[in-house]
Amino acid sequence: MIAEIGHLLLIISTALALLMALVPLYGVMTNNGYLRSYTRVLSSSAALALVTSVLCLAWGFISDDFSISYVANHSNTQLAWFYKIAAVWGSHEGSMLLWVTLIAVWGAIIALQHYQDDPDFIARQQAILGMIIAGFNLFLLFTSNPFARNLPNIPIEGRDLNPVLQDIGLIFHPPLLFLGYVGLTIIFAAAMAALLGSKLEKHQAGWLRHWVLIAWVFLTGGNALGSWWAYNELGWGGWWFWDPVENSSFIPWLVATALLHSVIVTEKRDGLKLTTLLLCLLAFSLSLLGTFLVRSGIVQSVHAFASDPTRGMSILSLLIIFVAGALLLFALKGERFKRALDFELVSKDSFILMGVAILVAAAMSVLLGTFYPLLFELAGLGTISVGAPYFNAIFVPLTFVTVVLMGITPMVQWQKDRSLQLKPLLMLAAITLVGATTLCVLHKEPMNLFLWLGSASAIWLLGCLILSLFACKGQNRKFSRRMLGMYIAHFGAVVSIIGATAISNYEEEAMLRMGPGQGKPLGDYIFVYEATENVESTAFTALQARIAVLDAEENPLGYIFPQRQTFKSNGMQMSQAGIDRGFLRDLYISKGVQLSDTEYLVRISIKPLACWIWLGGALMMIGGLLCALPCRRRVSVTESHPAQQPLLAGESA
Amino acid sequence: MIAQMKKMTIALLAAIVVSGLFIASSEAAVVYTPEQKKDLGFEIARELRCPMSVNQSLFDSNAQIANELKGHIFRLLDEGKTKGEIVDYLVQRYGEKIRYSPGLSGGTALLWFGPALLLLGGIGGCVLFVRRSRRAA
Repeated sequence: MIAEIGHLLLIISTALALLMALVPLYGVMTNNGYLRSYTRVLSSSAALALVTSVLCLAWGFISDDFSISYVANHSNTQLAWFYKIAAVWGSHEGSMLLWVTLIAVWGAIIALQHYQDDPDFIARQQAILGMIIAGFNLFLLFTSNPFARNLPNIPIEGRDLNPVLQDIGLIFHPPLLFLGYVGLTIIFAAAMAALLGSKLEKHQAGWLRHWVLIAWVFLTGGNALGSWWAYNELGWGGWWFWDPVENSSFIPWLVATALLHSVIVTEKRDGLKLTTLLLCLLAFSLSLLGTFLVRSGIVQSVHAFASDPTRGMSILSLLIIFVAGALLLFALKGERFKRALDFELVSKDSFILMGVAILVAAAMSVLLGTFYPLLFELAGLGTISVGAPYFNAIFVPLTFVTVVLMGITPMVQWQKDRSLQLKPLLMLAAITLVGATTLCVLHKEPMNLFLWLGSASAIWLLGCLILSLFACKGQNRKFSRRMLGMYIAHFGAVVSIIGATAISNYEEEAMLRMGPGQGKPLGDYIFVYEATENVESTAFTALQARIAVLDAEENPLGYIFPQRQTFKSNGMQMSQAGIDRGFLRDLYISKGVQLSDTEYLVRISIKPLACWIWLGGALMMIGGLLCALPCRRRVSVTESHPAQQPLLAGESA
Repeated sequence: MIAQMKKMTIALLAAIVVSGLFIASSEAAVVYTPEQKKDLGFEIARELRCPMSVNQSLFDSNAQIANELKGHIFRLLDEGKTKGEIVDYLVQRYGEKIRYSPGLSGGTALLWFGPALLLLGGIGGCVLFVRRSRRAA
């Protein structure tokens, strides 16, 4: 019964979304304020219907209602209650439902918050959101209904949530990522609203900036958490493997990062409007393309997730409809956003534009690498793999270029800069050069270009941040919260780059046969395999190794317990690494196949500064949030904004 | 500043070219110390794809074949083979797909040069665009 209510609410929300797509837009077009005023009612009731629908599905999981196929396929009575709830988004149907619900909720919040300030803009935005929600809902109802029943053969017990997914990672990682994608959807709708209205005013750019920041914070969190989860799970390629599924969420992040910077120029200086709008469309399109990639199963991925070619086609058609419509509108209306450039080549505006170009180039390069095997095969040239070594080879240099610009830009003034101090920058460049080269010379492989690029990036960026802080202090400039946010986020990038460089170049590892009583010195530690133990949990039985860690003087430091888990529900085997975490290093041990009666293949690694990778991610999120928090002064639409100072004609020559 | 940026661009280009050469070059050493052998063996195993698993490197995969191939790599290193020789040998036996970093050929030229073109096009396009609009203004 509850499932039917959920199903019905899904249908009702579809009808509401269709109305939401038509009524406000018609109201705006005919200048009919009465029709337009339905915007808020429609969007909030669609959101309410969808939220209730998700709750119904969650209830199906909690009450073990195996008459619902989706529940029967992804849950059972043995599952812990929090995994039952997380199982709602553990596979395709439920995660799409959650996604569309989040779109509706975020949209409704915006409608309630801002409709009064600018009814036309918000009504248009809600109409676009209505179209997207309706599209997703129809897709759900016709190809992947989460409420489909298993009648009349109701199973007594459900199957299982994929054991790999029974992890804290499942509870947080997908919702964060979806929130990021939802943010990109909101931004897309806003950009379309601006295009439809043929204008993007300062307060609208301010909202856009706010939404972009929030979306970016969620995307950063989603990516960082995904990376952390893969690091903990053996066989997922470590903290970053450039797997197609990883790339499909990383590409939108790169574009969102570019957008985040161009929208600042749009808000502050009324410039780069076309770039900002195009990036809004691009970010959303790429998030849909990523979804298509992940769920259609056209690429092989270690994180393969609910893949089904028929669904792929539906997502692809949705993608084509939205992107084609958006590009058409952009082509028709783009001209009206053009305006004369009022900045010079050496200016913050211009450097940000170049940074945007580099980030988009990086995103397109990752996209190229991800799709290349597919295109190669389609062209009949055979099969190839494009993986980590390729992506590292292109991405590390791209990061370096980005970082060079990222360091200088905060020190450059808007519009034109005639006072940029080159001396400290050149000195810093020399320090960077010497520092990075020294690190390489001291390393066991002196010709390691990755190490050079990584360490040079970190030194340069950190140095630039310090220089610009001093410059700020010297000029007695007001230090706003937004600037603080920028510094924290950029510092987060430094921390992540240091972590990634350290773990990639200074990891110490050994792979060996080990059984009880055997020991192995590695780095400054000694690892002693003490015993193999049997462990029982509700979901699995595991063979667990008890490995003692001693320091060089053989003082005991503690134990690490890597496990080889066998899941009760389906017999699947998984290796769970044992990790001793630390600020400066992680000790990482995994237990592989059995080699003899007592011996196993054991992999021991000392991973220096591993946690810095995610610590940097957390700092970026904090920085982003600081920038996203609304200003104390409410944005008023009627407030007049003084025109930007034009450059004098004589100066521009 | 502009001159400096030009210099930077040139340095960057050089960096990219050098990185390409660096990756393409293969080690010439023939007798390895145990430490070198381990590092090189792991490095090779990380750059090759397990023929059985969905998308895992030989290094990460626990499949039977992956373990055998890892053993094989170390045997070849014992024989004094270079990284290039070992990778070529495995590509011959298991096909181009085993290699995560495809060799440069007519079909993969776009893959290898695309990113550099995108980067140069992006930066160059911005510089030209800003300068031209300033001149027009």
